[in-house]
Amino acid sequence: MNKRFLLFLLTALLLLVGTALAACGDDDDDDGGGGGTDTTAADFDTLESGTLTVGSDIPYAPFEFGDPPEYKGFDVELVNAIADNLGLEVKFVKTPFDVIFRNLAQGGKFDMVASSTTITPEREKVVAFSDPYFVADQSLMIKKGSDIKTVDDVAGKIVGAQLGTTGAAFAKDETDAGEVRTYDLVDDAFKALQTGQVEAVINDCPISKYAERSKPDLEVVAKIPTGENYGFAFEKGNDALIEAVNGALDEVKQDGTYDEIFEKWVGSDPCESIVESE
Amino acid sequence: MDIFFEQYFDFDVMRENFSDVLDAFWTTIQLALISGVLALLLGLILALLRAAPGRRMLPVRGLAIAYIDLFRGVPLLLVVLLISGSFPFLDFLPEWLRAPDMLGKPDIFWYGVLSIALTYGAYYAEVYRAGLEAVPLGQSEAAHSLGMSHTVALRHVIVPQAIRKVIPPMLNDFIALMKDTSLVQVIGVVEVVKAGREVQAETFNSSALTLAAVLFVLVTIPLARIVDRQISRQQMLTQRGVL
Repeated sequence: MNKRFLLFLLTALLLLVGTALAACGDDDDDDGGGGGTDTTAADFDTLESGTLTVGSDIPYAPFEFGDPPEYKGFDVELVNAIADNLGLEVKFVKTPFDVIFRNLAQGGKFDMVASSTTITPEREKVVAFSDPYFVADQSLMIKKGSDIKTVDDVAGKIVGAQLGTTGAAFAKDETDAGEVRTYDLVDDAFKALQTGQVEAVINDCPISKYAERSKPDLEVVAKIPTGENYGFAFEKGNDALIEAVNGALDEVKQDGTYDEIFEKWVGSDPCESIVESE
Repeated sequence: MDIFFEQYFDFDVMRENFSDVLDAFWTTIQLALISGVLALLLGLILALLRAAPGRRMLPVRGLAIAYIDLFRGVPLLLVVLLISGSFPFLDFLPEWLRAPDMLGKPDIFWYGVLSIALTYGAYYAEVYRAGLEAVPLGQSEAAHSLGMSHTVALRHVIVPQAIRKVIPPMLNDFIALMKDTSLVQVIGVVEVVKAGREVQAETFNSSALTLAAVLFVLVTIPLARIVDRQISRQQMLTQRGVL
């Protein structure tokens, strides 16, 4: 074989492999005609009939984390329970948090977002929310040995948070922090706290509290009572699905499944004993 | 299609966040200039070490080659993460180096500068090498026969010619460097792309990213044109038969 023929073969092979990968990578979702078969649900559509496609920023322990396809966590199990109630399969789509609402609003990517998302007026301008399913507060986390005890103490200091979260918004708007550094993953913020690049992290209390287990040098030192409500997010106008999910959520709360999931992942309120800081 | 224009060309969003994005672009420029100068210096040193003649210099050449291979082989993003993640724990480094808080810029800025300079130094070393090798052997022979030592010949004859030859690839690498500064956002530096993303996260609109792209292009295109002109002027002066 001469050199030119070899080169031609190689190019052809690469093109072939490339096309094959592209073809079997994306399953084209056609418009779902999937309806709920349950008693309380109105007729609703999902992107893929029979499946609830859920966008989530994984990992965010203990609400959504683990390895695909069997993710773990509070949100994951609650979504599974709701989908079960509606007679749907669940498919999780990992999405970075800073674009999750934008992607949802554009449509076509997922039916719903379950990602410890707080219901806020700004977000309600672009997406619609289900009924609240969890009450969380923000929290102030520091590295052990720091003399920061309350939110006032972060004045002039460097605070870390995750990009696009209510924690980041709180740090920017409601504290006198010298600088607010946002990270793509909340774990990056925790890491920065450990290396001393930021002096505090403002993040949802249950998540920060859970992180203490794997990062014993970090400590949640104050609770910031924002009384935020998590809600599942939907494309605006998708009322039928929202209604169905709200109905299922209600049933799941009433039949004890919710309490089981809560007990398993959150337990007795881990943030209850923490000092409140205005 | 409407959604595309709404998402990426919303001029109100661009206007409201213009000063934030511009401030961050200034950070990008500072990162690029400081790292670029350091990389140029490091690259020259590496290239000269790599070309050091004689058997005694074999370990020096070997180390230079190893360094160049390593930093051309590891992605810049990894270098950024490794340096910023490990430096605070390297006890043998003096405090000012471990968490450098200099000239009003925080430690993460300097980790970024270091990562970019170390990586692009390796790329520049290879560019210099090509330049050095392109200088005709007759030049160094003539220099030696005039009694110049190796170092003097390098300084006055070889290196100036080498540098002139490699200005276009140098510039290409600098433009690449300038774009790569966006990687340091992962350790918290707010350069222009990160600023665009923060606006995106808060407004659910991506127009600030478009703005960032425009700013980049506004700088890189004139840069490319200026050097194109420099090259053709130089060619006119030094080469016969080129108009």
